[in-house]
Amino acid sequence: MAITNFPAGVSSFGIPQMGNGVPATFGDVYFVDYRNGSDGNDGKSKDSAFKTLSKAYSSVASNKNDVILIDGDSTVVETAMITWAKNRVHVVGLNGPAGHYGQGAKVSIGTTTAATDIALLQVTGVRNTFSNVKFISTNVVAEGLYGVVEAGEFSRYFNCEFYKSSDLDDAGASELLLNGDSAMFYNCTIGSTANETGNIRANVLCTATISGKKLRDCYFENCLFLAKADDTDKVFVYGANATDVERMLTFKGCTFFNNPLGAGTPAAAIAFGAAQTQGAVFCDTNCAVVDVTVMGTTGQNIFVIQQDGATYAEAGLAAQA
Amino acid sequence: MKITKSKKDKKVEPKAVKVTDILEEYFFVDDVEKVKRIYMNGDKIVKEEIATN
Repeated sequence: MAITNFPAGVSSFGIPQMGNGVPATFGDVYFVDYRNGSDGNDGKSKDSAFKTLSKAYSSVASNKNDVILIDGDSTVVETAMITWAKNRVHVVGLNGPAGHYGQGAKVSIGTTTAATDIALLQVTGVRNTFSNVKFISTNVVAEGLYGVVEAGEFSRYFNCEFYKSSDLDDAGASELLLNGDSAMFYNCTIGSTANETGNIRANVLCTATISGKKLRDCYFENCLFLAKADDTDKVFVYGANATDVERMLTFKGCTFFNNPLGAGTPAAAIAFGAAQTQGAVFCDTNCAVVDVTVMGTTGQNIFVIQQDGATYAEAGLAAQA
Repeated sequence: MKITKSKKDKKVEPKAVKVTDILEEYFFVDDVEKVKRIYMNGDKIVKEEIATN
């Protein structure tokens, strides 16, 4: 059995090894190197790496726990949305230890013309994971409103950044369209403190948009939601309808940070077009807002743990019993 | 927890030309990836900048 030439060893004598954040796996490992790779390669070593993530995706097997490794020295530029319908595929960006933002492994979609390119990535598969990758969309095609569409089941994102620098004043655009079932986000950053936005322009849009999909039992832990609002109507987490959240949407240790140098102070970090009737939002005691008036709009089934009793409530942080 | 600055103390940046989209192009200089950001207001270019990516 061959030994790979990957530093620290993706496998040794055919046995998957730990290291560099690469998960041990029963599946095959594929390499993506946008700068030096080619989609004509087999993708099975760093010296025969693919160029694009879309090619690697087309090569992995569903339900085999295959792993895709992305070199962290350049931006992988995709020319169409990747529809991620396969299951149990794991994507890892390799640029040293992971952080909240500034990942070296970046995947981007620029301006396209296809109406089907609603995002860089649309996940509909089951139990896929993404680690240490920055997802970028600069697409200005009219339908390209989202950075990533999460509409799968049990997807997990670790130390990923979601960045969309187009449609900055479009109320229906967002870095993340969350229509997934049991999606989990750990140590992720969603949005930007540099790019001023207008209208609602949510970081996370919960509105049920993908046919047959909706947000259910989703979880964010230790995540940053960033903004630079031009006025008060900016919302970090928003859904237009009363039934957009099914069962649970939980935020643990999350910060909703509006750049104070922006012209506007958002009225609420979390708000909906109507009170939620099929689920609730919960923010634990370690959630915080910066230069945002309240954590959540009162009376919309948004639960916030109070830290200092009445004062907290009087400040407008919605607390429902 | 809620952290705010009073409006009195709030320092607001000078109003800039509105930017609706920021396009990005990537290239390499001496093995280091750079990004060219093109700031747009609709179809008009507002400004361009180059930074290490």
